[in-house]
Amino acid sequence: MDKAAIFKGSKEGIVLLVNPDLDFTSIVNFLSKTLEERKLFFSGASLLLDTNDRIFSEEELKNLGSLFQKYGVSFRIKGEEKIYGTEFLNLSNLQEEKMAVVTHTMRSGQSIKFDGSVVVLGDINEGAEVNASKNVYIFGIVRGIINAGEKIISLGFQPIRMSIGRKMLEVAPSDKSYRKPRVAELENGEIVFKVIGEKKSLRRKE
Amino acid sequence: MGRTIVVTAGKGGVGKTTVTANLGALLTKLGNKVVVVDMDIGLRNLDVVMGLENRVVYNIMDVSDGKCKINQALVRDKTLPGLFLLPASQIHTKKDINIDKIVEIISIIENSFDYILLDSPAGIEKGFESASAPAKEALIVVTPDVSSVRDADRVIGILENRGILAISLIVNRYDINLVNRKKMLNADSVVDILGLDLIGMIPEDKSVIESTNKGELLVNYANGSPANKAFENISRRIEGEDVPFLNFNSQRRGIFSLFRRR
Repeated sequence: MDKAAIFKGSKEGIVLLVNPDLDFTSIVNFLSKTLEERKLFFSGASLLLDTNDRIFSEEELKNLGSLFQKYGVSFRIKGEEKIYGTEFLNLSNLQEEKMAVVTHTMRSGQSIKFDGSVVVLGDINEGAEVNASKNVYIFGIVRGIINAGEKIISLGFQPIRMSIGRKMLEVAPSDKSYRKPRVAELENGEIVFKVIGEKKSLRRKE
Repeated sequence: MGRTIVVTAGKGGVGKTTVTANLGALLTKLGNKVVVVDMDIGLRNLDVVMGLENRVVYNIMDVSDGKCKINQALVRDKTLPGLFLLPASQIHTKKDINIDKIVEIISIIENSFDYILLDSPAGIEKGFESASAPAKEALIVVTPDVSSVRDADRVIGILENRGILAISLIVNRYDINLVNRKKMLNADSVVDILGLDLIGMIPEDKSVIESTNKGELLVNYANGSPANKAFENISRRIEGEDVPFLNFNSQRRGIFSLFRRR
């Protein structure tokens, strides 16, 4: 093997085979060159790193992680669970979350309280209430009351009352733009709405 | 085997009884045998709306108590031979209702009629429960205002929990002028909030109140009125026909409307 690393397609996705005989700097150099050249191809990918029994130190993994993060790539070492590089909403994380799934639109008078996350496949109408100690994922529009521990992800926000952690929402997104998928979460103790797919934050102007 | 449909709303005064009576009449006109059942025990109205109050002898509570046979309680309409009314009792209250008995009565009626329209009382208590218990399908009547929509939402939730999943929406008293001036909720946003299939819109129409007060059905009182046309379309849609929606905007307006600012 004369190259520092080889990319191979396999059943588990893209596998990155590292040449175990070369030193760390040349591996990093080779990878950053390849990633730069084929930025578009790798962006958003999740690789499996086959080290060929070479052991990376903590420091080296950290360096690799930040290199991959630059290109929006995540990787996992073969035989291990931990994910380095860019963090995606990955399914293994979701399965660890305790979840309650509501398979219909929640209408006035219906409520759910759950220690964990709640998924609603439909709208949350005015007069309905969702309480979750962790996240709430809504495949619809929020018009009712919603209290989440960490994060609220919805296809549209028009809530009457909403809180994340102990913070109550004071101003909801404007009427006109409510039909946009957003993530609501706490940032510096304030609830912020981030449009999914857009980098601009919708922080309320004082 | 007839189709049993509950006409309900949650909120009062949105036109459940009027819709039941007129829809019953128009379904009859299409050649069906229809019975409209007044489930508003203690506050009966359907008989007055249809102008049949003098002909009521027995009522559904008498049937339920075993005082008479179902056939004896059915009142034939004055003009439409295929339309029958099963009146409510005025001396009972909703506490006296035996829901199992009502379900049993309706299931017997189902064998000899094409449509059974149940006129539900307002609210979500026992009266509503007894009206929706025998039904397999539901028509929700809403007027385009926030309180009606909110109540309807609650009712739909309860119906869905009971396993009634064939639910359609009628938007009643729709005033296109108010909607155009953005003073009334438009039908699209009602449908958007409730997420149901819209089966018809009934325009605000004086002739509805007039006919109701006279105790006449709209088909007989004002056959050509926009409201009657809307009821006719709804009944045809219930029958499975694909009828395009009325375009309220094309209604003739006075010459002064040209100058009115929108």
